[in-house]
Amino acid sequence: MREDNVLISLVSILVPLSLGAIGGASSIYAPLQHQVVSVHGWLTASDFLDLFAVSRVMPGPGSFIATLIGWRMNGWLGAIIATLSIFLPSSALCLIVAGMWERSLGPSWRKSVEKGLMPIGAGLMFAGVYGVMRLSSGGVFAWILMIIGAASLALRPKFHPLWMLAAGAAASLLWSYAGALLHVGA
Amino acid sequence: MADHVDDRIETSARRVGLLQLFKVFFKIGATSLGGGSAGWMHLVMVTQLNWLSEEEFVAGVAIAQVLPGVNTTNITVYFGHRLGGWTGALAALCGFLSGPFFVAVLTAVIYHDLLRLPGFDAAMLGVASVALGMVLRVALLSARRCIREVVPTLVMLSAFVSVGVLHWPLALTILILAPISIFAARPKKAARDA
Repeated sequence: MREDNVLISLVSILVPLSLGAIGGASSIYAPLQHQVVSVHGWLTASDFLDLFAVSRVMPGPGSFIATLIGWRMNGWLGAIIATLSIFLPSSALCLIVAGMWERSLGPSWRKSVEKGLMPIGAGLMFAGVYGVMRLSSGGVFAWILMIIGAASLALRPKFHPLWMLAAGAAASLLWSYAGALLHVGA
Repeated sequence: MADHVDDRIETSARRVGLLQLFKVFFKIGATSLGGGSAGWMHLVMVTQLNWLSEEEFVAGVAIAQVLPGVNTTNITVYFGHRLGGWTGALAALCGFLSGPFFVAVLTAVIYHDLLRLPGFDAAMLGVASVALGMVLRVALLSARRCIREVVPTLVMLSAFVSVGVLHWPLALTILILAPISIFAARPKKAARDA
């Protein structure tokens, strides 16, 4: 019975997120985290942060964090249900739109929709950054790393994401070892 | 080798088999590490296989970006439909998602073992921080464009506060903000079609 509840909860959380993922996976981190960590208590904050990080390194869209959560909650069934819930609704909508696009609104209205949705996407992204950062125990160092990450991309937009993430991992590892060494010294 | 398709044809007459769609999108999905899948899709569908013209691809991407959901799956579904109807879209989507799905499950399975590796937590913190930096950068780019006008700025702030601070439901936030924001961004009378 508890398992059924989890699956239903997964679906009820993820389907709206699928349809609300303006601008991609980055929009859903804030609400997803709130539901999974705060409301349902399925994961600890540090768990969620780890899954977030792992999801950025895996192939495929960041939405696969849903799959990771689904697996954690209910193995194969959870993983499959979560994956379907996060991908099918938006895909179905896209299919409907694709089917009727020829007879639909002109290009200037499409521009309006793009232009109108952009600030929402931006706000959601800020929410995601803010929300996930608050979970991290990394303190100032994490914030600095984040800012360096953003700044590096601004200066060199062509940096390959994987190299940047690897550099971040390395920097963080070095930092933690430095911290451990200092403690040993004391 | 694909036949050459007239670039000026708006609606593609090309049909691609289901298995072919599945295989091609499987390869794209499985190798889409770190993002940039859209570029990869362009390379494969436009340049290598000549399934689509440049214009068709760009138009499809624009639609994919406008719709909710991840760009890459929307592009997959959109062009899958273009090239093979409803079943084509399904085949493409299944192909695209299969690889990453199994990697995700594998990752989830070994996750607890990964946790025991010394430094894993620290490394993941680093990855998360940099990943957030990348998201932040995109957010700032959009914000720069938003703050030129009042309504977009307010909409952006509202979305942030609503979802990020107050934790109001995402769907509700969008249902309220999207019509307002799109209406504010409507085409000026002179430029409006029909």
